[in-house]
Order: sequence, then structure tokens, then C-alpha cells
Amino acid sequence: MKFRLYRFDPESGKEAHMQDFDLEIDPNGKMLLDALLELKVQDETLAFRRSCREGVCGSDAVNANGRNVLACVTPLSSLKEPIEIRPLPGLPVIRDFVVDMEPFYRQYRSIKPWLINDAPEPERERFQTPEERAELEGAYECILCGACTSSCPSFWWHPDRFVGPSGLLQAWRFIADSRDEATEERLNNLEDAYRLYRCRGIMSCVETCPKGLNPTKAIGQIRALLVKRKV
Amino acid sequence: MKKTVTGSHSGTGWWLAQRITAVVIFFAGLALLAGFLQASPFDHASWQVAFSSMGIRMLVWLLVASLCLHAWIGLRDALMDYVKPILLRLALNVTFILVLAGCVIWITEILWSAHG
Repeated sequence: MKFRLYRFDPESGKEAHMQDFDLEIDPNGKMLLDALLELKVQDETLAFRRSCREGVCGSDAVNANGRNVLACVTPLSSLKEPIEIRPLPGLPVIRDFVVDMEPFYRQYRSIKPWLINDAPEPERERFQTPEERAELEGAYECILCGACTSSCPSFWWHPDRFVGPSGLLQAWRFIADSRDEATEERLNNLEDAYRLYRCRGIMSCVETCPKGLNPTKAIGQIRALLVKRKV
Repeated sequence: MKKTVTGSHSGTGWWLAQRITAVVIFFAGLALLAGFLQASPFDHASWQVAFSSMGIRMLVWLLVASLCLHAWIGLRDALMDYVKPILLRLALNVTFILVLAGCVIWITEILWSAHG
């Protein structure tokens, strides 16, 4: 199979460039990550992140043929040759497919991704009804791979100000949680012209999410609360 | 000081204004279009009659004012995305505000001066 890989090594002093590779590999039943590992055997300087190899850890998000995917759950047979692989767009490249996720994590931290509840702790745990728990479906499953946020043009333009689809999905996850008491504070945190409202609803995030989640819907739900509060 | 600062709590207001003006543009535009298509004959005299009605004038004014406000919110968003230098953005913001406010004043003058 033919591959075109983005190569960048800051220590080499060379500009970023595309490098062609030919790989003997039967695509049947293999994932893109299998090919990357084989390519690394061919050229051990190739750098990328991977860990769980089953779509849970979110380490190996790359841009394959123009789409952000998790290499470990993307069937090789689904990709047209030559398979062009680049690092996630919109994030600083450290080397080859390894990007600096800090702008992404900074926004994630900014929404305080933990339960805020100052009520005295109950003897056992804070219970939820099945209905309350159901509110978190589609919001808690995010693995923070960054595929959605780095596919969002609003995040490319404003990585320092726009929370991005992943962060907003997580913001919704805590707003929707019956055990969380900081809804007002969380809404205040998002109600300016940039942090949530840079979302123009183009739904790149929904299309790219390897877990099939819907950040646009979560953003809509937060916005509905903001509007409800306003009027 | 080099801190990232963002706007005040005005996001929801602008967002709502953009949606509401869009709805007004749609319905006012539709109503006026339907009215003008029905109007016959399509000549100066019938236009004079049409625009002597306060309702029509208000509707046209509402359409233009909504359009200008809608355009302003969209332009402001585009400027926020693409024009990073603050002074340049401020200058463009002011320019667009003046032009659009001028349009609203102008349509007011056109609609009400002729019929007094």
C-alpha cells in the first residue's frame, strides 16, 4: 500500500515535508495503527503516539486523508491510496504526528472538569436516579483524543479563547450532572462572545468524533440554558 | 500586561438578536414580497398608495433595521475571527456601525419624509 506521511523533526533543521512509503501489508482486518507500526519498523525515526490500540485511550488521533481519526479503530481498507497522514491540524507539531495538546488541555481545564458540590458528604455516595444518570449519556464517553476540537475552524482561529467542541461537551457533562451544584458559575464561565459563541454549528466535530458523540448538540443544550436564564 | 481577556457576558444577547432578526427578515420579507406580487398594476401610483399606509412603512423599516442589525452581528463575528490587531478591528467596527446606522437613518428619512 502507498502512504504519504508528514515528516517533521525540529532537530534535523529541515522543513516539514511529505515522505512517500511503500508497505507490503494485507489491509484485511488491519487498522491504520497496524500500518503505522509496520512503517515504524521500516523507518524507526517515525514518531507517533499510541497506547491502548482499541479506541479507548485517545492517544493516536491523526489526520488521515483529510479526516481526523483514531488510527487504531480506522480500518486500512476504508482509506483510499495513497493514504496521506498528517498530524492533527490546529495544534503545534512537536515531531511527525506528535502534537502539543496543551492548548486543548488548557481549555479542558478551564471548564473545571470535576464535580463541584459543597454540600456535606453523605454517608455513602451521592445517589442519582436512573433518569438523572441518563442525562449523562453521550456526554461522559469523551476520551479527549482531540479529533473534534482540532477539526474545528473556530478553535484554529481562537485556541486561547474558544473552549472547543470537546471542552464544551465536557462542560455540558458537568452542567447536566444532578450532583453538580455549580451550574450558574459554569454558565457564567461560558457566556461571552468567544468561549461558547464562536461555535457556528458547522458540525465538523460531530462528523469526526471517533466515539460517535455529538458536541454540537451539547453546545445547543448549554445555549438553551443560557437563553432560558436570559429571557 | 499580557493576559488573554475575552468579552463581557454579552454572548447570549448577540446570539439571540441574530436569531430574532433572522426571523423578522424572513417573515417581513415574505409578507412584503407577497404584497408586492399581488399589487396590480405595478406602477408609481400603486406604490404611492402602498407606501402611504403606515403598516407597509413600518414593515419595510423593520425589515431594513433587522437586516442592518443582523449584518452588524455577522460582520462583528467575522472581524473577531480574522482581524487580530485591536486598533484596526476597532476602526473597522466603528466604520461598519456608522455605515449601517446611516442606512437605518436613511431608510427612515426615505419612508417618512416623502409622505410627511
